[in-house]
Amino acid sequence: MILLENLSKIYPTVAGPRVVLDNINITIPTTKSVGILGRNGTGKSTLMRLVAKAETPTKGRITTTARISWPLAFSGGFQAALSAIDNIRFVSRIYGEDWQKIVKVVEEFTELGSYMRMPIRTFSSGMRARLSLALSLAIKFDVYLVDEIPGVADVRFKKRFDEAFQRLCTESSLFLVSHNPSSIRKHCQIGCLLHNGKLTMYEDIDAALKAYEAT
Amino acid sequence: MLGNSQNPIGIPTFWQSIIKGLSVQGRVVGALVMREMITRYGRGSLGYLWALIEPLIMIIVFLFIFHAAGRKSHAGMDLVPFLATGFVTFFAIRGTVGRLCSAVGGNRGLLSYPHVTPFDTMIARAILELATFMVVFAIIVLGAWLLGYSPLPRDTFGVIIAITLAIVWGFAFGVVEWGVELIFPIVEHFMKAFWRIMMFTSGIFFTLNDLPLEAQKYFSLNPIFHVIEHLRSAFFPGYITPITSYNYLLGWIISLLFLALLFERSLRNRIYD
Repeated sequence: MILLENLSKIYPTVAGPRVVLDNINITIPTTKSVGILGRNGTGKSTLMRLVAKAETPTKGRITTTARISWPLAFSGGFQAALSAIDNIRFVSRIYGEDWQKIVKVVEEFTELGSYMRMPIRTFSSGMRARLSLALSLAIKFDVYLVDEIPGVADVRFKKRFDEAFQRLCTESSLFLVSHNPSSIRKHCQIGCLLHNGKLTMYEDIDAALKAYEAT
Repeated sequence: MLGNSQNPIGIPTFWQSIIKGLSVQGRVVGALVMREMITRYGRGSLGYLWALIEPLIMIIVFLFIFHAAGRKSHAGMDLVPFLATGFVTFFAIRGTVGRLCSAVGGNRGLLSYPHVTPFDTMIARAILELATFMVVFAIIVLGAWLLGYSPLPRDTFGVIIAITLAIVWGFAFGVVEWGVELIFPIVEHFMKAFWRIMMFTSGIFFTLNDLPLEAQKYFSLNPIFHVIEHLRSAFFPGYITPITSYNYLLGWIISLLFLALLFERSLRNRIYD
């Protein structure tokens, strides 16, 4: 589970401090998929980065007992000068995975072929996205953080990605941030509404969507 | 106490989180070292040659100067290992400090992985510097020994201790400099002058014994001078340094490490924003 205790995030701005998350105390289960709803700029992505430990809270703390992924399809953690294999090797090592196995899975999934040995800076943005998606899926996590379900342009890859994503939804749970009520309804069992710095949890997804529409 | 003391909702106890934390940190630092090695030394890059060439050039230049002055040795020490103990050590310390200061900036993307902390990137770089230092020193000294220009170390263990403490000092100093520069970026400019002064006051091409007693008092305030003196004392059968203990150097290291950890704690949030 994800335990948020007295969690606050405040950004200093020229117009004074801006409270994005205001003293949140909540326990979010990780056995079910959770959808985070909220209007634009309410701090949904901030909350996700905090859960991903890519940012630190201003006050309070987050305790997690599950293995949580980095945001799906995020490729900012790759080093452009290194080859795809070297990058995969590094990420596998920090997560304590067998890198040879992961490289094989990613290679099959992305069909990058000889590009696997080339520096990532030679990749097109599509290839880069494919690589980071495949790597996120190849390493098993209890919870996958998803900031909007990634759109995949490549038709051939899209089918494979949809299948993999379906499988992922049954084997692990999601922590999904989305503007799109229908994708939250489709993938999540629990809804959380972020409004005015406060997070409210709804055990029933329809109740969450109703509350979201009322904001 | 371990294992069965987990509370109902599965939040780990103090000891469980310490052990888990240590194993994660070990894994992360290991992965970072491998990665730094590839970027610096692997795949056709000439980084490893440069680590060897920079001190070699200085050693050769000074060999010529000493020879021109008609000197075959210095205070009973063969010239090549005498200069190697000075220059290799100094460049290793300066290199460590420089690489530590840029470690966080150069690895910013990696901080998005939850386990990788700024401190890990600095530890990884220091480990790689230590390994590089040992290899470069061994190559130069063994090369000189094969050609008959150097004895083998008198006290190998003492040499390893001195080399390790040099990098530990560089690590602690580097973290502190990184912290100070994060708060006052202007300091970076002064550091260039600082290292130039250090190059001429650290006993790289002279020893503490060469100086008049009055000057020894001031020069022995320099911790890098201490490291080099200890290293020479351990390396050469005939050299005895007037510095009798590691206490002064250890005092520096402990104080700097204290400051370094303080900075790491208090500046952690600044890095991510």
